[in-house]
Amino acid sequence: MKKTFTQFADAFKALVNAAEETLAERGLTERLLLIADGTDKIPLDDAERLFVHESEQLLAIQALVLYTAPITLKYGGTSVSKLDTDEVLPIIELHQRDGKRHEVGWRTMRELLAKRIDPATFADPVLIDRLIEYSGGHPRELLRLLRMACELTESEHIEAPTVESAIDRLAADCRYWLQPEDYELLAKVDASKGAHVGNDERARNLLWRLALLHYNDGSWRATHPVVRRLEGYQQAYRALTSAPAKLQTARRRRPGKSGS
Amino acid sequence: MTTLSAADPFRFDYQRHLAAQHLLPQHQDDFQRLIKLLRYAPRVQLLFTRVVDESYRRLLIGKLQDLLEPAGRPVQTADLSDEQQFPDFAALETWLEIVGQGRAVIHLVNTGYWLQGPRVETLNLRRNALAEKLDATLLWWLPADTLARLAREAPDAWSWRGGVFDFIAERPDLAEPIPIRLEPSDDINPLTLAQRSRRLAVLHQQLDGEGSTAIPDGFRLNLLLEQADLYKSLGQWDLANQTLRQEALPLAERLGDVHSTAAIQGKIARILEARGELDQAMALHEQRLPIALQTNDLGPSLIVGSQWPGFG
Repeated sequence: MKKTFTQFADAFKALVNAAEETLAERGLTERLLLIADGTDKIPLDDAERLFVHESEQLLAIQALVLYTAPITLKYGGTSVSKLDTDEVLPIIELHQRDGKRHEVGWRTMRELLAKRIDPATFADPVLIDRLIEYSGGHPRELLRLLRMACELTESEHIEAPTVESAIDRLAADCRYWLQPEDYELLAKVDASKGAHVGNDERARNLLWRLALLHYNDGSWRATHPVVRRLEGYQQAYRALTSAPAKLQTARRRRPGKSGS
Repeated sequence: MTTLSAADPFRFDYQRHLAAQHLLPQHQDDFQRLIKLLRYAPRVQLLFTRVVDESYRRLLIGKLQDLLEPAGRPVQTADLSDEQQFPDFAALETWLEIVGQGRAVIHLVNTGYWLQGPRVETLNLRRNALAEKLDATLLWWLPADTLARLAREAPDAWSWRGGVFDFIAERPDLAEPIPIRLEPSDDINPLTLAQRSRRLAVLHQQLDGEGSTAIPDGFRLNLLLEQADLYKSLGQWDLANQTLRQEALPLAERLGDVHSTAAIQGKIARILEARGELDQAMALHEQRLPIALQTNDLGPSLIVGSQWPGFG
């Protein structure tokens, strides 16, 4: 392919041009938009080669193309902006940064779930919201949780213990690869109400592996709700949030101590 | 084992619950998830299991095989400790291409030493290529440290996982299960198949596991009766009969508990009745009749009802 890329690009351009001309003649449209989906799921090295190091090849294909790319490239200092533009497809917001519920997001996720399973399958509609809550607003995570619940259920309806068990299992899957330093960084993000805390390799890895979710245009972030159930995270969060209190206690004691 | 019809989901459900009752209680959910996925899931899957004990792994694979082969899923095993056959990932991939067709289930075992360094990297890179070539589920049996390493070092393969299943625990002492019968039980148990299977697993652990000798005899008798009732409710009459005759009855007699002795004889007699062994059943009913009349515990016996109108 590499050896004959120029021929491929020319042939592809001719094909697209011919298609656009035909469509224009028939008054249907002027431009064709091609969507290359799934390219965000290719191995990271391959994605970097495709979108960064060899992006000229993509530009050589003179057509209107929308590629999906891994989010980590956006923050890797190796921006995909060699292409015309790069946009972040945000996770569906369930809560705003100040913690207020974002009802539109919940409604959207419920609709999405209803396309995959009859909501009546759940013993209680509240359980649907429970799955949505622990998806963090990420459709793939919602479907992963749903699949897990379906695998676990042994009755006609999906009951509350099954939903909790599915959430625990998704959390356990994260525990296999998360490191203590990861928990510290995640706790730091949450303790600072979604602050950016940088784009170093650890942060990018957590984003890519969905332990860290980013909302809006990436302006704020939050730990994946299932990860927040893990003991490692909770310890890190407690250590972080109780530290200032300890410091204040020490400061309050100091004058008394000097006075004694 | 009773032949399983691939087209009969009820039989499959029934068999998978019977198969799980000899596993540890904490493994019930993952075993059921795994067997359902292997039976029903899509064309290509990458599954990971965590296991330590080799004999427990063999037990699990055996149980899966008993359920999958009659359901039309060919089962293969790759022993990766065979360095001559699988010197590198390319050799494994070539082998998988040959055997991994026709909705096969392929166990990859002895992976701890094999799956590291370049082989992990290659698995990470080749997962898409494998998906295109195979019509099979790859089930990697991994020690805990290998699974953790894979999760960290092969994020692409990890993100592609169809599931992770945890079977890390000591192996229980197991006896080969006696072949089962599928006749319906006369004792309608309100618990689901899954609940009964899980409860049996708990009872196995309590009655046969470490610390079982510390159970007081009276409590042990209650557990044995519950175990026998559960076996019976699952159609496992031979196991119910064995539990009652060989364990519960001698214990009740040793305790001098005449009421329990009569109740156990009644349970055995009802099993014998259901199997058509009416003479033996009647003999037992006669033996227990004086006590049973005192306690009004004749039970739902057809032959007792016909011989002694007003009872049964």
